[in-house]
Amino acid sequence: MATGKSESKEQTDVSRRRFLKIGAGVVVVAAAGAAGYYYLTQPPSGPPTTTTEATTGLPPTTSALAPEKIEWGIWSWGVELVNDNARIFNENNSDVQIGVTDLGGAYTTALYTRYQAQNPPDIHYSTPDVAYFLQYKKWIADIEDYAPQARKYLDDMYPGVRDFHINPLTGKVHGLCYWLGPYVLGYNESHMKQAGFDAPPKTYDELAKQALAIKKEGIAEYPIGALWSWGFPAMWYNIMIGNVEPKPGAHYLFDEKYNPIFADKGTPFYDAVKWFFDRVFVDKTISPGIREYDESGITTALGSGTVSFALAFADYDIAAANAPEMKQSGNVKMAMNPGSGYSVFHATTYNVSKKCVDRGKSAQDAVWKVMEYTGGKTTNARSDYDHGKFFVCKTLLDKYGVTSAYKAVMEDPTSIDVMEKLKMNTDVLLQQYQKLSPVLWLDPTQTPWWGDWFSSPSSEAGGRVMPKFEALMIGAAKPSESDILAFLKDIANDWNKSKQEAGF
Amino acid sequence: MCLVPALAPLFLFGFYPLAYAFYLSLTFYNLKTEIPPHFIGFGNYQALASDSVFAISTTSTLLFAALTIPLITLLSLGEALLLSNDFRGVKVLQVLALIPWGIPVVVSGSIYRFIFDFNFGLFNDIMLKLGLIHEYQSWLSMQWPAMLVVALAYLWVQTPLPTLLLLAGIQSIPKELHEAARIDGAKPLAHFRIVTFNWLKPILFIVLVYASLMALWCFDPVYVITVGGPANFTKLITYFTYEKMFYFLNFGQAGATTILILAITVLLIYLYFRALSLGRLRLRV
Amino acid sequence: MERRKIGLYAAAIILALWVLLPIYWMANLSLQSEVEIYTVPAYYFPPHPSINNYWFSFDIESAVKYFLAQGKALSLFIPGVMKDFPRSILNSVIVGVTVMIYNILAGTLGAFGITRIRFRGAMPLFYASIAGRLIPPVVIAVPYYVIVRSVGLLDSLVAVILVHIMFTMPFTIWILNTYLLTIPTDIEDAARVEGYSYLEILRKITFPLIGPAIVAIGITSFMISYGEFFFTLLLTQSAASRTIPVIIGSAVAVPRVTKGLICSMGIIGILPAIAVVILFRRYLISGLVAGAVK
Repeated sequence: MATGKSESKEQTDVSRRRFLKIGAGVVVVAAAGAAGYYYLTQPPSGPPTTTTEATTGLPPTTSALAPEKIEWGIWSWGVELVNDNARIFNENNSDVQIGVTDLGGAYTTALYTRYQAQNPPDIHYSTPDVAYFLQYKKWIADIEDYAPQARKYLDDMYPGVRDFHINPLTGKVHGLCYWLGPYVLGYNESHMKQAGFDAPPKTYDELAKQALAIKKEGIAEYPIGALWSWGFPAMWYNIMIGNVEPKPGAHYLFDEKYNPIFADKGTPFYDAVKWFFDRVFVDKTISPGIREYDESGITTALGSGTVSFALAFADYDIAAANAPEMKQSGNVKMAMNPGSGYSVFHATTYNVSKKCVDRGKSAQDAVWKVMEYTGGKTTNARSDYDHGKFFVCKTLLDKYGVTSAYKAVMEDPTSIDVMEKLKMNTDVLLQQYQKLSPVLWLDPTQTPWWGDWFSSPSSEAGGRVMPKFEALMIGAAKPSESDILAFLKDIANDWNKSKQEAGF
Repeated sequence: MCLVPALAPLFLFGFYPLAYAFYLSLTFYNLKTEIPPHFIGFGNYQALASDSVFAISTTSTLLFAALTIPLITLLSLGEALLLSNDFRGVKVLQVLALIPWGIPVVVSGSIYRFIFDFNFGLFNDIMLKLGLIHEYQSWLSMQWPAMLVVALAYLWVQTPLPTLLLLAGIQSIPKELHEAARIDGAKPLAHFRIVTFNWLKPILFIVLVYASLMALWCFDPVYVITVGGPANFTKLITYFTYEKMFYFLNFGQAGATTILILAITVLLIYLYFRALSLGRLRLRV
Repeated sequence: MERRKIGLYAAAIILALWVLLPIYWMANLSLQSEVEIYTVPAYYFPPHPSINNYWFSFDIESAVKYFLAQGKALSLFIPGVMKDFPRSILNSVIVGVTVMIYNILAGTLGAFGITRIRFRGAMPLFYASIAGRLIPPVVIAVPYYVIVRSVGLLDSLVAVILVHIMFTMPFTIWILNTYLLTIPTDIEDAARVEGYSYLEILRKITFPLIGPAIVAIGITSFMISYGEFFFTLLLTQSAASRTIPVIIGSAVAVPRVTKGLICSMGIIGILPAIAVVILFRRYLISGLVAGAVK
């Protein structure tokens, strides 16, 4: 690689210049990028655009020019039905047009990223932790502020679920219901009968007894299962409120000032944890593998007869376990939560982003129209509180068998028909609906770090309690009372740390 | 000018975000609070140091690296030696050995997750039939088995490349060296040590470095199989960072973790190169 | 010798099993219906093999209808993201091929520049380009997302391609560099003296000489791009730009999985890679390492 000295010098001179040029170019690009980034992430300045339509008094005919576009963010489920519903709405409403965006499997991540980048969808689904977080950041608006008639829909809901739709920070209704599913005790009737019992357990001690009998008969190795992933917090609350009836305003884990109150012997949480570990280590009716039971896991476990009892959703899990070709089809029945009979529920709502309502009155009206269509009563996709039907909610139930918060939807004879066909015993289900407790979401009202601490209802990951609990559960020896206490104190510490970090 | 097309994407998209990561690591930036982002120097690093999950995560990553680096090296060496022989079907075997490389790690992770499934998995069934266990076990709920499954999915996809490198290396050993060793009457083990192994040293070095980096950055199998695993045991540091950023929305600490990963990466590479006498190595430009 | 042969064959069989067993299991599950998959004990061979899952992979709507007809609730377990699968195959291939071509062209140019056109700062630039590979992907995610979004490239193949180039380029440059260094420059120098420009030298002389390395890095960059998951997951929002790993990864990491569909998608997804490996095995071995070894 040797060339003449002078030539190489010339080369290096030329190339040094080129190198400097390249270097300068890179620096310029990086600097421009940095400046651009900084500029673009500044919050929008200036007052929100006030509507000009109202003040200029243009005749209504001109509004037919450009329909208000509303972006509806969804997660990847039932997408065809959503698109279909959107189409029906668009056909019947020329002034508002819905565009559906599928935010994908990692919904929360995608949604938060869009909010962070100040480009959120106008109306979207929210799980409770998402709703609360967005309320806390004031990134979503309470729909009642722009449509006071939203409040009337609370009367249509079952009593236990009304509080859930109210923003705890403002007291206003924040959104209408998309889906609401109670947790029930699913049980395998034939297993139960084989073990010599003729009724599902009425208390958690009875549950332990029946499971032990089933195990001894060799019917199922680990009869008790539960929805682990996002059903984890619900499972604990169900055990707690089963043992201690939830009176209004009752607190199980935290007091009004967000202080932990569970880290002691004899608290409901302590008893629940102890009950659980006794099943794992003493009776051996719960396997550490219970942590693998996500929704398909628990459904297929029930459907194939590997578990006999499970705290899970009525529509997704129990009904799916009864699908015609499942081995245990027809055997999986529902019972109310043992003990007090009260159960918690999981729910998802529609929420409206602040960015949307900031666009002005036209956007506000439009988005309420969309919300009333998706979560309220309409006729021909137009608002009709007095005579309309819960169109979308009913379609969801008719088509997919998923439950709702509204009495009109759940108790409609055609709905009951659908659910019976899915082998959900609706009498028990409707009874459970009467005994729903919002304590899961109000104890305390969710803080931004609630999901991170417990285990998020909207995602698989996150959660400090779940891994620490699992560490005890998969250990070799049964945790002693002091072990349990240490665990409770540890997670109470985590809570307090998060609380401090958040400046609460 | 030649270099612009090659390097522009790197600088734009590689280094600028890295600078941003530096910035983040020194900032308190937690979306889940009302406190606005502000400079806190090493506060994030302190918070990480006192975070028990971070400690578990680093331990897990170290364990994972300690597990996979030797395994990849030995497995690929073994495979390469095997494939360098001439026997019937070796060409087919070579193709087979390379196939896993083209499979996205998420697919590999999925299939291993299904194989080790609690109730419906192949592994449980075989173990039961062989009499090694008396009832189905939930492997993914036990710490070390879960880690091994993640490592397995990862190894399955990562071994072919080092195997390829080593195989080419073996095939490029000049015949004379083998001849010389044979003439000198070297026994197979010594033959291997003196001829093959020495010749392969540079490549083995590359394999080591590659395996170390890949182990440090392993993310996909965790996402797909264990999501952090029983009691955070398989929460490798990359997954920890991902979680910090996208679930806990604590960008400051996520940035700090990344800078730490970067620091360890750089340190590792420096150590590797130091440990090697540069004379023997043909890697310098 | 006999012992050795037996040992070799035994090892060969183990290796074959190691590679084929997971693939076999995936194929096995892909040919079963959901209910058959969820039977205890698991079926080693599909009891009623059906290619339903493969049809469904390409037409998720018919899958939903099928499950609806069977019993509504099972249809709930199909993540909607799966409907993007057919398009994602196209996307994966487009992205992979583009990345490959770009790597070949830009990488050769760059490596040529560094090794042949000597100038001060070649070394630092070289190390800098390799250092690009040192960046752990995870945290540059959010600023990357913001940049991409602000130039309007979110959810476009262009952004994905750019990221993948960023990942593959360091490796490419490194390999090509080392390979180029082993090639004597006499012809090139002679041509230079005769007044050929650098570009012509590159095109006419150097390029043909490094054929094997080109093929090797082409294939490597394709493979890396094909399997890239994390960034593609982040930057894509819809069928327009999602690639195969994103679809499968999203379908698996949710609480409701349909194993059969995932397996059939997986099988379809690994076909291109298998094809490439089979076709280019020889080049891979000779080209990829020639540089790093010599």
